[in-house]
Amino acid sequence: MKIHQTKVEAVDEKTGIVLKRTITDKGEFLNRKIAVSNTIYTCEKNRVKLNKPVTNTPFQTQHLEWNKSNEEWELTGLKKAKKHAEKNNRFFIPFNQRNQEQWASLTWDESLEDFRDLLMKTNIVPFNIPITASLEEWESYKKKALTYLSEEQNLMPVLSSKHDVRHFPLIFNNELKQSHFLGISCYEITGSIEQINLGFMKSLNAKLKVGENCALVVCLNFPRVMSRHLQVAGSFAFTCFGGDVFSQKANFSMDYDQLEELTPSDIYCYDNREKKFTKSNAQKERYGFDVTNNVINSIPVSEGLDFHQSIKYLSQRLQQEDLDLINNFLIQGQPLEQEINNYTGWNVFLSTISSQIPKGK
Amino acid sequence: MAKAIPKWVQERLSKLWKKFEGKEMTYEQIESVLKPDEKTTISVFLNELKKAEWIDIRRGEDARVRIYTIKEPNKILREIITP
Repeated sequence: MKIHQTKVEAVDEKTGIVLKRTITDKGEFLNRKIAVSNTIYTCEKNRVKLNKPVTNTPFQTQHLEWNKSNEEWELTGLKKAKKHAEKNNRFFIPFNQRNQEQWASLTWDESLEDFRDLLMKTNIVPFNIPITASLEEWESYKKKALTYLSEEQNLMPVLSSKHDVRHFPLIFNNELKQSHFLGISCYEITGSIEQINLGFMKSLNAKLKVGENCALVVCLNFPRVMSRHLQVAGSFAFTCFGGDVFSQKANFSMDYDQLEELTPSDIYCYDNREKKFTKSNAQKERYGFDVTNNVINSIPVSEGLDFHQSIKYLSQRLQQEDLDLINNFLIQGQPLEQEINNYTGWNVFLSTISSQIPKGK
Repeated sequence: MAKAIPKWVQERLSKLWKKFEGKEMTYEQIESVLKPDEKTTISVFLNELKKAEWIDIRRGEDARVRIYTIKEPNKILREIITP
C-alpha cells in the first residue's frame, strides 16, 4: 500500500483531539487505528488456517526483540509477517522494541545500522533518533537516510517520549509537517520528561489547521492496559496526546509456566461500558455477570484461538469500536469532552493525568 | 445553579440515592456502595457532583471527616430545566 497524503479534517478545540483522513492508492481511512501487533498477528495466523476473517485495519506492526546472546535484533519471521500485511492491504511497520536503558544508550551509528538492516525488508523504514539529538543533527542524518530509500519507500522517524525536552518539540513539529509517518516510542506516562513531551505532542498536533497536510503519529511500545492509570486502554491514553496509530508493547519475556496457570479471571478484558480494562470479579460485582467469560464464549474454539487469545482479540476489536466512536463524535461536530466524560474510564483518565498536561490549543 | 452530570456519574448517584436518599453519608459508606470502584474513581465522581452542585459537603465533628448529602433530584432537575 502506498500513502498519498494525510489531511486534517477537524480539530476539537477543547480536547485538542484531531480527525485526520489518509489517502492511499488502495482507498481512504480515518485516523485512530489500532495496528495488528505481534499478539494479534499470532491470532490471525491461527484464524487464517481455519479460513476465518482477520482484523479490518490498515496497519500491521512487528515489534522486534533484541537477542541478548547474539547481540542482534531478531528478524526471523519478518518476511512472512510482511506478506500477511500486504495480503490484507496493510501498511507494514517493523519496530526495534527498545527499553528505557537501550534508548538512553542509543548512538547514531547504531541507529544507522538498524535502519540499514530494515531497508530491504519493508517499505516503511523506521529510523530511531537518539534521545539527545537536536533538530540540526537529525536533519543531517535524515538527509543521508533519504538517499538510501527507493520511490516506494517512506522514512519513519521514531522519537522516544523521553527525548531531551529542549529538542523534542522542534523535531516533532518538523516531522509532523514533513513526514507521512512519525513514530513515538511510549512508556506508562509516569515521568515528568515524558509528560512534558506528550504535552508538546498534544498541543502541536492540536495547532494543525483543517485542510493542512500532516503525518500520522504512530504510538508504539505502550502498555495494553495502563495499570498506573486505572486500567484505561493505552490506545485511548495516547489518543489524548495526539496518537493516530497504536501498537502496544510486545511481551517477549513471557513466563510460559506462569501463563499455563492463568485462568480467564486473571486476564484483563476490555469493558466497553466502563471504557477501561476490568477482571471477572469486578465485572460480577458491577453487573452481576462475568463479561470475560461471555467474551470467551462468543469466539468458539473452532475459530482457532485459546482463551488468552480470544480475550485479547475481542478486546482489540472493542477498543477499535470505541476509537471509531470518538471519530463519529468529531464527524458529527458533537462536543467531544462532554461525550468522553460520559464514560468512567475516559472521564477519570482525563480528570487525573490529562489535567497535569496543557489542554488543547 | 446545578448543571448536568455525565452518564456514569448519574448511574452511580442513583445507586447512592437508593441507599441513602437525602441522608448524610461518609466517604466509607459511599465507597461500600460503589464497590468495585477504586478511590481515584470515587474522588473524580465526588468532584463531578461538587462541580455540578448536586451534593452538599460539610466537615464532620472530626474536621478530617467529610459528610456528604445528595440534593433532592427533583429540585436539581428543576434548576437545570428552568435556569
